[in-house]
Amino acid sequence: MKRRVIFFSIILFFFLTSSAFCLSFHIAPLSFKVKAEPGEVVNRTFTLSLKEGEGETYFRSFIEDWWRSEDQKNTFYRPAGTLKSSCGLWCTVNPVEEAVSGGETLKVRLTISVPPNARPGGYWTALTVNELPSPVKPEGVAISFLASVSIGILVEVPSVKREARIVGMKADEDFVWVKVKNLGNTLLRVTGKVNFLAPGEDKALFTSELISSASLPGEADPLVGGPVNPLEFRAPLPPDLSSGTYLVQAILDTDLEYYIGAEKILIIKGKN
Amino acid sequence: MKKLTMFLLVAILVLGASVIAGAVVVTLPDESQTTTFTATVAEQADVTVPATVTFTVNDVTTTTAGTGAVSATSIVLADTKTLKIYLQGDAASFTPPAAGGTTWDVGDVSWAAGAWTNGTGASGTLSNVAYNEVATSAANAPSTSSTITFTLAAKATADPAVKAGDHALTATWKFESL
Repeated sequence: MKRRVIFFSIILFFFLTSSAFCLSFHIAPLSFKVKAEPGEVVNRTFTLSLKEGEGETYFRSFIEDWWRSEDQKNTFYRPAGTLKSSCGLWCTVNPVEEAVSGGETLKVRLTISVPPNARPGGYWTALTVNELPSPVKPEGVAISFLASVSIGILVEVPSVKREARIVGMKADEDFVWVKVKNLGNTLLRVTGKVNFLAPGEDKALFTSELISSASLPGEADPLVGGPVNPLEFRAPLPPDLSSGTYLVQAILDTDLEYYIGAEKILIIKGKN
Repeated sequence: MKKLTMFLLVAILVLGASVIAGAVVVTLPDESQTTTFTATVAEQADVTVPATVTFTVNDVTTTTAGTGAVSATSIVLADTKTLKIYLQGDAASFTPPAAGGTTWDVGDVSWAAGAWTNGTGASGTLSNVAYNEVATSAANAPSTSSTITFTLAAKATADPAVKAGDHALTATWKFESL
């Protein structure tokens, strides 16, 4: 009887500590930025390493276009080649599907073939690696989770023009929103901060960082519901900010050789 | 013999001169010579997602909570870049125990912004047509994590009865570096 109890205890311990309750893996790199001439072929490698102890897991790799909603809260994915500035059709991946066991590494080879007639500018898409569903279903009312990783691919064909301008600022109860228009022909990564000054003062009372270092599309895409330009970026209102009138300064880094900025008198309804 | 010796002497002189030309002559002691070591580090991250979230529904007319832990650690990104985490349902509704039975819609699952280590959470509702934001890591953050509380909406008593048994939905966590 004692042996049976010990046996079941060991089985239960193994069940409770097995990695069936989560999936852990290491990924690298997290972006591909390539400068290539028309007609050039470029190869890169993406790796996904399953942690030791993970069970055999199937992954599928493919290329898809992406863009974000104007408020940056949603990301949309569509087949490669959907967007006007997509380089999705220039890209192939190998292998497309492969099983990986714990402690092993999936190596996905990305080949980018730039067309000979490619015009100057930035072209983008994403490499996505999806975990494929397991046939084992959970009991009860449950959600089974899968993992997916999307890595940005940006191909810049010389010559590239980078230019951006702040075209609007507003505030609501939670955020300051800064609207930025991309006037160039490639993606720009936007980071920055927002300063809050009392009118007439030159020293900031508070500073808030822009939440998302998101990218902007270049020329507007004709796809209905597609990527928009300009895009809005948000910085949270500081928790200690009192309601009142402030001079709000936005200072942004948009991959240019200089910062861009704007300031506006805003009435803030703060938390206090 | 004399010619061979002269030839060898000239060869040694030329060889020695070329070696000396390729080297840097220093007067000892000297601390002016430097070598630059460069480590090229790829952007990378360790990611952990829960396999399942189970809702123990004891009363279908009230909301039910379920939790799951999500993390990204050992994050190495280019300066000021962030990692975004999204979630999307794979179907418009759960699969009920019997085909055609009443069940929950994908939009009946929601989550609160919650507290994220080194990140900013966003509340949201599960959708099968778009990835909705769950969190964004702070710029230059080495890791970000949270235990997310999901809420399964209540079913109105006027609906055809929800049957006991397994109601299943698959959802995909999206880790983005775009």
